[in-house]
Amino acid sequence: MLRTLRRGGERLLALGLLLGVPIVATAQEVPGSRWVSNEAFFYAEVPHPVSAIDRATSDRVASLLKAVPGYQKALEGPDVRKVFDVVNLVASQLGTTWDKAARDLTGGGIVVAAEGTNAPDRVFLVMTPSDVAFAEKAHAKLLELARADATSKGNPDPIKENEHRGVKAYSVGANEAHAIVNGSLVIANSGETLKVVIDRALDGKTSSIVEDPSFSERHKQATPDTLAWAFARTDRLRTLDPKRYAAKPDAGATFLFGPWTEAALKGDWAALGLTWTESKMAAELSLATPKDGYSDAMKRYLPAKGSGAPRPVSVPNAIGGASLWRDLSSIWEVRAEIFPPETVQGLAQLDTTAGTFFGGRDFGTGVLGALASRWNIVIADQDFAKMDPVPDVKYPAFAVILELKPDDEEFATRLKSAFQSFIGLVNLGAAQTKAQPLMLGSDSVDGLSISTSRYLPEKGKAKGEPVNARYNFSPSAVQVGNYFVVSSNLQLAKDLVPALKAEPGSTESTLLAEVSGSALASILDRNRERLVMQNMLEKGNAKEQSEGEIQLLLNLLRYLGRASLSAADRDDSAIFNLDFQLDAK
Amino acid sequence: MNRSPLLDDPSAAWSAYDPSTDGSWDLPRVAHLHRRAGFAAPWPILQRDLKDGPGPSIDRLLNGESEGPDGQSAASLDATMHAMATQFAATNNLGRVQGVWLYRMIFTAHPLRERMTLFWHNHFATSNAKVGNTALMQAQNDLLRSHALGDFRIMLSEIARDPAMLAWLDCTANRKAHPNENYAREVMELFTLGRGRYTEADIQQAARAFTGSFVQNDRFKEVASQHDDGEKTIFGRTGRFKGDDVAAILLEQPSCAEFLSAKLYRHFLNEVDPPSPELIAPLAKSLRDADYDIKSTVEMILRSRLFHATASRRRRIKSPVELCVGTIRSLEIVKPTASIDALVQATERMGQSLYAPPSVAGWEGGPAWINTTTTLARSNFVLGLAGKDGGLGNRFAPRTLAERHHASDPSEFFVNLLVQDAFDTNVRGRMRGDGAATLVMTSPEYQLA
Amino acid sequence: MDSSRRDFLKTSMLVSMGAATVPGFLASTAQAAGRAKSNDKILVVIQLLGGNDGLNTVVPHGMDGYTRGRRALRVPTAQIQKITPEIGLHPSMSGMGKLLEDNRLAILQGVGYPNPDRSHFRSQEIWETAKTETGALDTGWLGRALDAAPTPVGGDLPALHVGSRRLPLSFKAKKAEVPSLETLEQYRLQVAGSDADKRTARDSIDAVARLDRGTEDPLLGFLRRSTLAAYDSSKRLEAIASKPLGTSKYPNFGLARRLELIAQIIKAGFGTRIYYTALDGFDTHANQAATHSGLLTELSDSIAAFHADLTAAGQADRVATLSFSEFGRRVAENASAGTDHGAAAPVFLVGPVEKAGLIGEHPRFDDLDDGDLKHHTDFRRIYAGLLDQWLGFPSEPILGPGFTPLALMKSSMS
Repeated sequence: MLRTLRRGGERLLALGLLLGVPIVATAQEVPGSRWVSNEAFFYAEVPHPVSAIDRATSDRVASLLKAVPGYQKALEGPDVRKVFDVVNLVASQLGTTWDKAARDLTGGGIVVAAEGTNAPDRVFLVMTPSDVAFAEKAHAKLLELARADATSKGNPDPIKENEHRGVKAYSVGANEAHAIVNGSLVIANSGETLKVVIDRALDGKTSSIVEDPSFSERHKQATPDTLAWAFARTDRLRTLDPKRYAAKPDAGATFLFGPWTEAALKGDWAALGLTWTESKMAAELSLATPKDGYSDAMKRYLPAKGSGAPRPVSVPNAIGGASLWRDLSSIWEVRAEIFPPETVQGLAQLDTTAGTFFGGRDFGTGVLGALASRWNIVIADQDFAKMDPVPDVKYPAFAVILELKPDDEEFATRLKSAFQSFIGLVNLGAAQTKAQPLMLGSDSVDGLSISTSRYLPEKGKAKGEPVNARYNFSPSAVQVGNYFVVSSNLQLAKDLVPALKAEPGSTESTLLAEVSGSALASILDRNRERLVMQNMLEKGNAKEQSEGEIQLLLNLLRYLGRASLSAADRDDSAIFNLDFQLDAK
Repeated sequence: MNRSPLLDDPSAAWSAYDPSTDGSWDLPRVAHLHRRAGFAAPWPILQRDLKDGPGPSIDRLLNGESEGPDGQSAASLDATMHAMATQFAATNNLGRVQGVWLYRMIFTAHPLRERMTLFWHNHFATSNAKVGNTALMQAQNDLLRSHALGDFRIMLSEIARDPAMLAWLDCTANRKAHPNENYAREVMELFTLGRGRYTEADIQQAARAFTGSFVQNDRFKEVASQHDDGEKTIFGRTGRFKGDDVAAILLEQPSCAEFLSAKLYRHFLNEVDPPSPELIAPLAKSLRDADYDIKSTVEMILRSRLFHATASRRRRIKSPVELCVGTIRSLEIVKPTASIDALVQATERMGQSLYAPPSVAGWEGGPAWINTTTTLARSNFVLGLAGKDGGLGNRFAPRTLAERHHASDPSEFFVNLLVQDAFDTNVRGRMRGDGAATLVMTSPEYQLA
Repeated sequence: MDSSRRDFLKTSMLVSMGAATVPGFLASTAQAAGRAKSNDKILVVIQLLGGNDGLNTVVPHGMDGYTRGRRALRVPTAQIQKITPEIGLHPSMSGMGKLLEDNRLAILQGVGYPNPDRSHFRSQEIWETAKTETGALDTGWLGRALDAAPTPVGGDLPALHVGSRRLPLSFKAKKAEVPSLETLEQYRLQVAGSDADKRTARDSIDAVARLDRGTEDPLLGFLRRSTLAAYDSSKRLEAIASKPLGTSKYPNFGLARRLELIAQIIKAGFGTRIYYTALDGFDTHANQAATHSGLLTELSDSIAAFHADLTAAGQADRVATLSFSEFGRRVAENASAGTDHGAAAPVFLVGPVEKAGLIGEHPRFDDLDDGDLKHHTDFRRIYAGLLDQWLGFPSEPILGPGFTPLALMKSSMS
């Protein structure tokens, strides 16, 4: 039974993707939503499929799609062809086009629901045409074609007809039944389900999900721009498939997502909204916090009110960055509770490594304990015109910003010396491969001394000879007040000094990340020749093919504009937002 | 196995093959030529050469064609390959540099040249495992390619200045006071004369002549003050010899041409039945007469009656690289070809990692290619091509290929394309159905060249 | 390189293959290919990288020198699994403690070599090449053993490195090539499709190689038999490895997984006789206690599971497992609750050992070499014993003269 649910789910998902888009107004109920019982464990709506079709068939998207390798080929494949032929045939018999037919049939919105306490007993879809007469005509046409086909092959009538309370119902197999009810097409997983839905439509008495507060509260999330919105009752899904929810998340997921995996497994509901307008694509996911709150270990992942992830630091030529609030020393204390034994054992190695690098400090209390909970990663472009030598492959610069607790002054010194030990270690490794060593040096900005290092240019190199990628790096470290910066290049370390002196401040989020697609694209563009050749070897492509694929990647990145992700922990839920500002630079 | 009477009649063996008296120019002969002198061939090339006869077919192999298997012009491919080699050589990423060469072998318009480059890579076997610098390995590869069908004398003198070779043979400080005998020994034993054709005294004297030439900071250096300028006596000749003089003396030794000819014989004709000295003599003579022009001796082999005799077929085991590249080219997997990264891995699993031969003597070859692990790797390579995923999969559709060449029976098509006359009736009868191509390529017969 | 030997082998092979009948050499290769003889002994080497603290592994808790040298890192006497009143195993090593009770574990104390070198790289080189003179780095001890054996043409490879690290120097040879294996995939015929499809496909591939070719060229015959032997191996391995997931009795450690893989190959009856793998992380200069205890748990539990697996399969009496590290640590702990590079240390040998328990005296604390324990047993005597008496390779040509083989294993060949 669960298998059918999953299979059904896949089909619904595929349908959702096909129809993908926006609505007219939140306040407006999608027809059919009232026919869903408040016992449903899954609900999804596409309030305004016509805008979805508009968006997906827009010139911009179409041209992007056309460039996807294999897309055109897939469209010309025999299976897809057959479907198109049938669709076109039906449409032409009805005197319309498939495009207009799709709009007419779905124009009033789509609702999908799954209900059942011990098993997914009732799954149904309500599709409301904007033109009911046309829908009826189309339905009749399809019945006629199916019956004609069966007759020509000498098969029995494939369609069974029934009537329930004056509504005509049709069925094309044990797992399908449909009817046109109050101007909406209802497709259900059984005749029984269909009857129940017809009863609800005619009586209007059932306690509907739209009146359920846990639903309506979430449903406010939907805006007029919402393309699709879905709501799942995790508590009910847990009863249906206890095994899946009993699974323990792996160590990596626990480390990265901590309480959020707990919310996904133990919370009571999840809601997802998708938006796609000319200028923006976005997804917002909210997960209910567990009813009894997070476990004690997971509470350590949550920032106190008003002290979330640091605000992104702004530097010239920024490409993107991420910031995070995470109290690692407090999580370290409970590692044995949240990680499997072999991970805990692996972590013990950190203790030894930390001791070696930080003069015998204990990793948990001595190293993590000296760090505050606000982390920042910055990625910025480099000014290659100023470099000598200029590496053949050009990477962006990146930096990690640690916040130090104010009460452990010695630690910053330890960090600096660990940085230098690390450079020494790199040189030891380089000596074995006869690579150029990193020379330690120092620089200063605003009276702050920066520990830096650079690779010496190779002796006797002629112009035009290949230049190694290591020349992208001039590892540097600097302390700015309570911040300690480790950067892959000196310029970025310098740029960060004034930015950090200005105190970035905190946000309400736990995690923030953003990246500029166009900046990323220009970095890739700069390395285009190498990427093309890499692609040739990885995929066995000819040069032109590889050039096409790289160009497509660039176009896609530029289309996606500026991407940003945020995660915020509220009392009742964790909220994740993924946004693409399509027009942003 | 029938022994060819030609083996006992050297002058007949090396005289030119004539289809009217020595067996007709048929598909097995065309395919044999491409298996040995190229990396096998796709159906259209086999058909074209069948029609054109042996003369033009062998000419094309010797001189290269105007375009590669995907229709790309030879000049444009050379430019692309040059850019690619330059890009990746500097990264010190061996897998990439190996990939560049495999890519070149697959798309080349001159397969014999690549094959000979591989032959010389095995002859002057140098491994990145010790050199540790892919730029030097790539430079050596370029050197070998430029002389692959050229003048062995020039190749020998350039290899003596090749930084990768010198690093490989520890010529990092070849000083007057400590001549590096290892280098002198390898030059005689492995590069020119063969074992037992020299004395220890020859080695010691030659080592003195090589002093003062070594590799430093990845570059070849000649330091006059470290060169032992005294008199040396090598192979009965006395003089104040330098390295190049030693090379000239070695090339004068009859055993040098014999040694190289025997190696060419093993490579092009037969690696399991050792030839008699009498059979090698005419080849060696031709090599010497042509002043060590490699192409003319290779040409003599490829046009010979012995080469085209039925008894010469399948006397070699395909090396992993031959198997990979040959299979890809025969099956026309070129638009796109398989993931080169996956091919690099496949050849490695079969026991051949380009730029990483196991020792100064190169890959042993022949039956040594075969053991449990490598046999499974060979079959898994073929199964990968027939599969739907991975870097090898999804690029080869047997039915489509057979249809493209208007073959009504795919199994017959694949037997003709890949093994021709190799199967006996029993085995031939098993090649049926959609899996026929896979069955042909996993058969023991397909491992033979 | 020893070309003469190789030429000889090559020539003898060429001669034999030219003969009209199937030559004896090939027939025996094909017969031996794949299936090991049941009395063939197997050696599994586990190299502990970084320098294992021998003193906190086999702990001389009752000796003054230990209690004086170890304060922060002293293992409390009460927790130690006693072997003698003075010496016992670290508490994390209960698995190996059990092997000791069952007389399957021998602990050789005070193992090392003259003029110990405290560099990881150099000391590993010495252990792996079994040569103390500098510059003797072209071959490893097992590589030389492989070079001395007949070329294994056509059949199973004689040795295998398991893991993703680079090939250990121990295996470096002039002629023999040892592959590295991370998963069993490389040892299986990788056919796609449903189980039934796979079986059909495999069967038809196999059938082609099996077909009698009538008058057969010896070269083709050789290929045919090698192919069959390879497919046979693959099938046996498939049968062993197709156990449903979750039935593994191995703990979830990297070393355990590598040993499990080795056990699967052994149980499938492969002719491979030497296996090599490593466990890294023993360079414990600071905050040693938790790290070291974790590593010992991994080592001990993994070896115990491996031994139990082999015992259940009736294979334990043909497998010897050797475990060593490039050096021990200094007697005195350092100021960072860690230990620094030292010298002599114990070596473990698991399997049908001649004598279980401690072998040799614990090195004396009152006769240290600049703060390090002195060795009394040269590690090459252990190698010699395993080569001569267990694997059946004359050890002197491999190790050089002067290393009297130690009689370590039962049913030794001599």
